Amino acid sequence: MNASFDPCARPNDAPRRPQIASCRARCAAVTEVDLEPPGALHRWSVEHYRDFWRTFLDWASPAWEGSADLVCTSDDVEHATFFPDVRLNYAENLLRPLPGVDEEAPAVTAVHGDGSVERLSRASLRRRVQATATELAEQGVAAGDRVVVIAPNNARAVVVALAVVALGATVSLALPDMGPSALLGRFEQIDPRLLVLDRGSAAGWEGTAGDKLTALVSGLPGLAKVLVVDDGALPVVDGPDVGALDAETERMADHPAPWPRFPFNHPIFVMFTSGTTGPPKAMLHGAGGTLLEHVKEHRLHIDLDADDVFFHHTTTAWMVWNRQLSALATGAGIVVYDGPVRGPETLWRLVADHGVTVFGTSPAYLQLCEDSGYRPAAEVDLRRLRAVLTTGSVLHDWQYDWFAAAVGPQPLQSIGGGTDILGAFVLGHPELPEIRGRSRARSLGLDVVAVDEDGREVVGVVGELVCRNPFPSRPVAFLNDPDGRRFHEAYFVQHPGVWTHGDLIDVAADGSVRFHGRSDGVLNIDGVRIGPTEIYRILGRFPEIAAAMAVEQRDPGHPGSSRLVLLVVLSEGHRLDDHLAERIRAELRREGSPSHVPSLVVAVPELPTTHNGKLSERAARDALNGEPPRNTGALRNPGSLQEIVAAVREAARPVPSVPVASRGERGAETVARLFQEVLGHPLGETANFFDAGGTSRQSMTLLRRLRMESGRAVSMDTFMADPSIRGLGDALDRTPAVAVHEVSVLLLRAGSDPSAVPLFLVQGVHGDVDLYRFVVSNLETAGDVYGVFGAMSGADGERLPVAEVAARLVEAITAVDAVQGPIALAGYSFGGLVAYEMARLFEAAGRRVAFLGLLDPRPPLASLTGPERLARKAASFIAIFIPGFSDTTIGTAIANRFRPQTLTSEQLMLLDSVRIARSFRLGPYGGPVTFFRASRRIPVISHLIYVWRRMAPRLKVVDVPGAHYSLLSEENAPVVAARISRALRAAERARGGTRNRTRAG
Amino acid sequence: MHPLPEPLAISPRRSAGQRRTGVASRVGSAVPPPRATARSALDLWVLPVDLAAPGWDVESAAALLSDAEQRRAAQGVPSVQRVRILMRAALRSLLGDILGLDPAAVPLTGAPGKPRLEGPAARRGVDASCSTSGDVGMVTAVRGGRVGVDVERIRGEDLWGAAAEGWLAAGERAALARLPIAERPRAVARAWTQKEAILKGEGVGLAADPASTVTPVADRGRVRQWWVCPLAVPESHVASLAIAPAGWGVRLRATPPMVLRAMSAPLGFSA
Repeated sequence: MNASFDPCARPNDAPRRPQIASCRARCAAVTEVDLEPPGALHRWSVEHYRDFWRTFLDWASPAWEGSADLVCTSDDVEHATFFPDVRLNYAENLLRPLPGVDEEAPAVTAVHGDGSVERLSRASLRRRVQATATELAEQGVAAGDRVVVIAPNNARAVVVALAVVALGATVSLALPDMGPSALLGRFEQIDPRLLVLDRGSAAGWEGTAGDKLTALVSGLPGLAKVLVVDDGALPVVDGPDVGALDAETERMADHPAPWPRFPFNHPIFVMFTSGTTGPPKAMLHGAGGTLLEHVKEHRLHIDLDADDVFFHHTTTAWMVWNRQLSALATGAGIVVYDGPVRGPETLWRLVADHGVTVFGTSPAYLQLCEDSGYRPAAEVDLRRLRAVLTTGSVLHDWQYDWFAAAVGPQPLQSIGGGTDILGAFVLGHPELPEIRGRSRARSLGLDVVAVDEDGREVVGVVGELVCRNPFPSRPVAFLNDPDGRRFHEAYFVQHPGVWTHGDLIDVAADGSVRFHGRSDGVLNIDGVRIGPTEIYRILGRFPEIAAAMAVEQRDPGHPGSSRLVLLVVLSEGHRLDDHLAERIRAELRREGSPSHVPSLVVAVPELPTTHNGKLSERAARDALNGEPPRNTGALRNPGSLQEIVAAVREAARPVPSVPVASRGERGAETVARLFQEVLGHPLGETANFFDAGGTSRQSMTLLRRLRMESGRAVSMDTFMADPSIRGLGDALDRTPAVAVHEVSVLLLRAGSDPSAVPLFLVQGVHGDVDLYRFVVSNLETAGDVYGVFGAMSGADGERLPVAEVAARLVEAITAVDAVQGPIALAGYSFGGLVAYEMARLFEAAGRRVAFLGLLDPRPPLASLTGPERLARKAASFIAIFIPGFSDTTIGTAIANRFRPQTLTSEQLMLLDSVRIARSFRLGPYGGPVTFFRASRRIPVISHLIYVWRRMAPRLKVVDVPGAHYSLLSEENAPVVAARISRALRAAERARGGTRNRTRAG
Repeated sequence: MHPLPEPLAISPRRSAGQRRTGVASRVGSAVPPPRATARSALDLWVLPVDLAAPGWDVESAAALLSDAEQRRAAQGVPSVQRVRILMRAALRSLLGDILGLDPAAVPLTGAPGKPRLEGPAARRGVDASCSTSGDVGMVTAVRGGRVGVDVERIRGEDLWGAAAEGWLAAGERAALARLPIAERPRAVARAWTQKEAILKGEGVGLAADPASTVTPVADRGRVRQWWVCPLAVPESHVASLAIAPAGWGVRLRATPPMVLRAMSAPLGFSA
């Protein structure tokens, strides 16, 4: 800790004159318009956006050269280019000495998860970036190169990113906790030459076979070099050179050569937004646009200056990171944090400890604080805090009340924007009081309005968010989009020449804005975003369908959730029968995803159409939701709405069956369901797969699905011998299976030392021990390895609670004469809870459990206190908004959100397990416990270790590679097995000589 | 538009009434240089079948099929039955033309599986293969070698999903991963069709492990004794041809106009 730094030394100043006033005065000098009335400056800044940006450039006076005479080349948002004759360097502008800014004041305060703090003064940061840039240049990094940086949100990430950008190369950041598929999904589009790696505490980066690094290297053939900036041992990988990069050195000549200045639109960042299908969209953002937009937001809307300390909680993989970085250009210091949110106090404590003046967070975090009864103002010193920003989701009205009571009088500003523009459309205004539930102002220079379907501006009612004039921070281009088609389709199809963002907003007469979710363009079915164009594309194959409209309707049967209704207008001579409806569903499922499958397919005579000939999905949606139509005058055929409502009501009979798999599904039932999912239609038991239209390629898909769902592999030969539901079902039943109701203790591997403690692997969620097969083959233990499994359901078919499962398994183990004396137990996920409970039962019975291994067990939610549960909920909520926190693909997300009628037995069982695991309460256990923690996890809130420790004080944590779901996979199993073996041996040693075990035949 | 393979690019607009003439006598770079004599060259017939085209006379097509073929066709659901009838009739028509026999009289067996000629016709050195996917059908025959063909609709799947199905060899996965993302779905489908075409040509189909047939991850190339090359089909599909010439050289034979006349159906694909 730097003794000379006292964050609370500076008292709250007398009211200061916000910088926006000074900028407004400068603008007033170039116009006759009176800019003083509220809203006048924004109005002028969009009507005369060229004057505004030119004046702003002069006022903000970044370091640039060239000519700013040509401000913008066109009025067409899609193609306009700003300041084509201006050259600048983004890094130079963030790091240069500024008048009135103390070179020795902290520019970057990096707080780590373990509480340690690192402070870099402005001068020191500059020297580090200079030194790092010099080293990178020596390693061959040059202007135009693409570099990817995988790093936690720490000071090194700041230094490396700025060094890359300083050289004119393009940088893209991600987190080391992200999974290989998520990383590859981003980075293979970039095809980087150089990877800079800061592994933080994440595992999987050693370069061992099958780990994240090798997966990444093999997926990035253009990667020539990997530079490691952390202190760990250098990994060894095939292919690229691996070296170390010292991002902490300041050794430099006193007068290093200045960095070159690049064109205004020279790309510096590659950013990603997730689409509804396919890999994330990769977009390039330019140096000048990024700098001007951020400096404008920071100085004019947030009023940041050299006296400020800005902390916006984020990860390196989110656009908020880039935005907070630019705050350095204002002279403010930034705080970065790479640790988890452990509870409501975590971030507030940071704010107080580091004298944060402007704090950015998410509505979810504030809600967590409110729900847990945490009152920041009562707990920590917030004297320096002068504003709080939230972004990521809608800030609710009531949160303003809580904020005023629990935090203070500071403005609470809701910001809305996007990665797409690397900035904000709406945000706060330093001179205007906040309005509950609304963003106070629109971003200066951006003509953000709500429009109706025909593109007319609407005020006071909900409309589509568009930006009607060019703005500097528009993406320079999409990657891998040479003709700009994808870029065009992303933003400019609906309203040509105008940026359509895909959000619904209302803009009040006072210029304040509220978000109302995604616009019609994207359906949000149970939280899964679906692009209707995707649906229309797939339906284009049906000659029977003349026109279609996908509408999200609030589900009358399930309050709070919504369902997808597909309205179709049939071509002449066709009618909608069950067969056609089923084909439509099947095609949407096959080509799209289960979430693309409508709950209802309804034939209607016509679709609501505006006078301009555009289909109005919103009118149909409002009508179906029983809401008063907003503007039937805009419709050419308002009568169509009644017909639609009547037709949907008529059709809302029970949904034609998508078979619901039942519990305890037999092989043939699993197969029948998979046949239907692969083929798109149901099939008789004996019908031949190929007679039903199945192709050989589909048979590969079928067998893979079967393998995934049942864990049993049926060979292609076996399938070909009788490619019917019955044939494959029988084959599946013949494939070694476990008895569902009978508990078995199975010797999986005989040990070499009969006196060694035997290890019992406890059944997984499916009631079997198949999942341990890779671990078993890699275990290094002298003892026998058993599987104990089979307790799943009671006589009534209901799933047994954890305690009951544990009791049955303990009984079975006790009955095995061959095993006497102490034992070792291990279980994965659900099995971990069972193993824990078993250990307690053994302990109660006086039998020693020498080792209890919990392999990333499910969190015991029922054991949480209220606030802890909320924290966890908030963590998963935050994870949705902070990219990189969650490795689930949209597909997995969809799979997790299947609606009831499409639940497979697999999912039912998992849901059941979740339910059962949730209702399980941890009891105290005095024995030693080893908790094997998956290293890839949501960093916001970890594994609730403290909850476990409350009950099991002798708990030790061992990190193992992989995510929860891939912990036992072939690639991770060797390491997991090695760590289990080590812990097992340690337990064995601890046991000492107390061996009283006998061994029978 | 996907570049048409030349000279195997069969005009998509050619109809039954137009006779193809002057088609080159070799198959792109996929085949050895044309130093073959007419006698040793492999004759190749390629017959695209647009199953979506209106005007198919399924009944008269069915009349060309043997009883066993009709029974097999009838096992399928109606849409499969129709495809089986039309494809088998097309195959019979083509083979009949090559062998100088009435389509219905072609001594054809092997369904499911590789079509086989029996009796004296089996000694005429003619081999055939068919494939359909969706509305795209392809019938091929050769004299003087072996042939396999496969058509597949391009699914919008990503490489890793396909890789998880286990039919791609490691080298293929690596090569596919090097392609731009947008090109991968086509390349994955192409790899599948090349494997299938070869395995069908060998008469083993999926009884063999597709992963052990390693394709070039390119439009054309050599795998064991097989040459693979693309056939022109609508952009939504990929079709691959595998031929194993017994001698040297390949001669693409025009599809006789009388083929399929009995079915009163068009050839090729409508644009």
